[in-house]
Amino acid sequence: MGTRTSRISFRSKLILFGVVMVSVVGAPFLAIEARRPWLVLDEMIEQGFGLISGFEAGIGQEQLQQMIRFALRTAGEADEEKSDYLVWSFNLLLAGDTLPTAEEVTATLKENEVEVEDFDYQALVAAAQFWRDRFASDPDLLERCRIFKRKLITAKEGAAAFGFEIGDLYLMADDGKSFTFVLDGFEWYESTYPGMIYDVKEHGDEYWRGYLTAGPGYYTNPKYHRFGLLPKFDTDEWGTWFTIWKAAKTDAGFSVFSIDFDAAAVKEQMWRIGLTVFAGTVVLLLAIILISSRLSRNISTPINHLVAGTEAVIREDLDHVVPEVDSPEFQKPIEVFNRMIRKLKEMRELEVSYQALKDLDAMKDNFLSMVSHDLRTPMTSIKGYASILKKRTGKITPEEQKEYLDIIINESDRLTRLVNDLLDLQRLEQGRMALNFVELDLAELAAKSVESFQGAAQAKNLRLTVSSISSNPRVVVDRDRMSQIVANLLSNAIKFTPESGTIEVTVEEVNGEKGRGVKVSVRDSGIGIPADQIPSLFSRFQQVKSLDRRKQEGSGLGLALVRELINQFGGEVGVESVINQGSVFFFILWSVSAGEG
Amino acid sequence: MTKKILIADDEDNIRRLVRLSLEDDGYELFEARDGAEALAKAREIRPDLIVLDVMMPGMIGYRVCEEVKKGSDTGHAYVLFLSARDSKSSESACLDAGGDQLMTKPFDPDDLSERVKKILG
Repeated sequence: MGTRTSRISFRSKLILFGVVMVSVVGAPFLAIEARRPWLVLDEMIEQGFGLISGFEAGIGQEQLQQMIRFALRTAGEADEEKSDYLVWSFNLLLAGDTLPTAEEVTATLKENEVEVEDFDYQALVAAAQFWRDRFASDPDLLERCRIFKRKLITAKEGAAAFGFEIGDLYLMADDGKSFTFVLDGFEWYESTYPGMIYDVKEHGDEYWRGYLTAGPGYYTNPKYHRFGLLPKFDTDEWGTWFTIWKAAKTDAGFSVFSIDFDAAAVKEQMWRIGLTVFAGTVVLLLAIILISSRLSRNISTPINHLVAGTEAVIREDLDHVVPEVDSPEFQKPIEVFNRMIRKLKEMRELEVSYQALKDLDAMKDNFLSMVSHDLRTPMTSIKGYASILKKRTGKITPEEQKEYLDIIINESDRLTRLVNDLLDLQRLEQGRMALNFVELDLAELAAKSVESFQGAAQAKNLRLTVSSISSNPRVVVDRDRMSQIVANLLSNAIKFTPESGTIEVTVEEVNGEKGRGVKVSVRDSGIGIPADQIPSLFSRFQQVKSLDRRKQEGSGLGLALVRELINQFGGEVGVESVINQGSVFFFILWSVSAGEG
Repeated sequence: MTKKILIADDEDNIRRLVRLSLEDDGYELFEARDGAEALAKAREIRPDLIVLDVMMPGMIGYRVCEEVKKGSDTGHAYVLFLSARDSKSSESACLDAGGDQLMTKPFDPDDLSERVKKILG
């Protein structure tokens, strides 16, 4: 089975965990908060029913039925076209036996923003007469209505004093055909009259009757308000309402006590709770995301650092340091990781120095092998020709004898030179060579050296020339060693240039970072040196690495000696070469007389 | 039939010395001054013996020996390395290259003469 990998990041898991935790802890609080508008509503409803009960208890059944009958009677007789005037006149008569003047009525209407077109005071007087006629047949009724209305107003005001915003409290009657207003607690200009039909436009009387007679209720519109987490209310041009009612069967039909409550307070509370819950949720979510990010960063940042560190180790960047972090859990791993890198670096350094030592050892072996070879070559001639001379004594011509002796002497000189070179090199490298510095003209020295090599050049039919400019800066060097340098370069050039070739020595002035200098070049038309072998050409050890090349370089130590000496003189050496076309060996020495006197 | 010997060495004095050591023994002697020349000469004259220096410019002795031993014309030639390199490693390098014998420099001319007589006799 392979390992299962999750694509969900640690951060996402933390957020999920936070949301779950907050949900578990917060859900009950949320539920309680969501209940709060209902509780407020329930309390209001309870108070409302208390109000109705108290009110009902305060009036006698006989009186109630008398008023209902009166209202039901009026419903058949009143001219509904004049309903406004019927309302105003009825309620004004309840307030006093005489009607206010037309001016007083219009002023009050205007004051309370009741819009009336073509106010007709005579219509009001006529409506008042309608009511007076009806009260005349039942003189007790007017007083009864007055008491009843006062009770309604008192109850309404009492409820308001108690902290409830009550739209109104009113009594309705139901004769089985329609709902009819009986009395209410409104001011005269916004009231109803007994017998005024309750206009139920949307659902019809039967629908409402079913709800009203089913028992106490409290919704304005049951169709819309049966379900839902939060209570909903009807909103009309006067505000947002909810209604409670209590219906009772009477001889005259049903009496319905109904209270309109202003739902603004409940609604406001709902909004407040809703906003609080929403804001709280947002704040909590943000907090969860922030904390999760922070926590996951505390984990992921050091892990990323460690991954970067591992990658650095893989690509062998052992100078890499994993940055320290605040998180205490990761201090130790990071510290240990950094220690591991340091340890690896130490091991690497050991390995490198071990390899360097091994290389040096190999180079020394090579050097010894080369020196041994170069010692054996002249020794071979010395011993060989000596043996021949001894064996053939008396059998060879004096010319031959002289030739062999010359060879022995020359090879002995060669052997001596080699030993001297070796010793010189050793002294130079150990800084023990005594140098006798003098100021001299390199052009002059080069010319003399070339002169002394003309014989050797002619023997190979080589054209050896020297050219120099007259105004060369003078340099401060050891004269003998300088001669040795030029001689080494010349003898190499002669050795490696095939017959009839050319060798040109040039002395010229150069200007570089270190000021004025003199460059001496020895250009030959020889066999050349492969480019890859040039960098190690002047190295004492490296030059013998390839057997092929060693022979091209002649008697080994010459170039190493040249380099060491030029270094001692503060100059530099170099070579440019093209295979089968020739090589240019050169050195540059910086003038001290020009600038530094 | 006169035996043919090729002397390959970049040192004039040593070629001459080898020649002096062998000239009285009735061989036909040839000379080459570097590796490439030695190989070309060997293919041309098909020698019975090559006295071969190791460190020569152009092509070192080991390489010459390998080429000689590979060639159908030259493969029969006996290769006597005459080397100034000492040490065990150089001996095994000579043998690895297909060389038959190794003689180190400096050498005794009589010794060389004796060895060659044994080889060609």
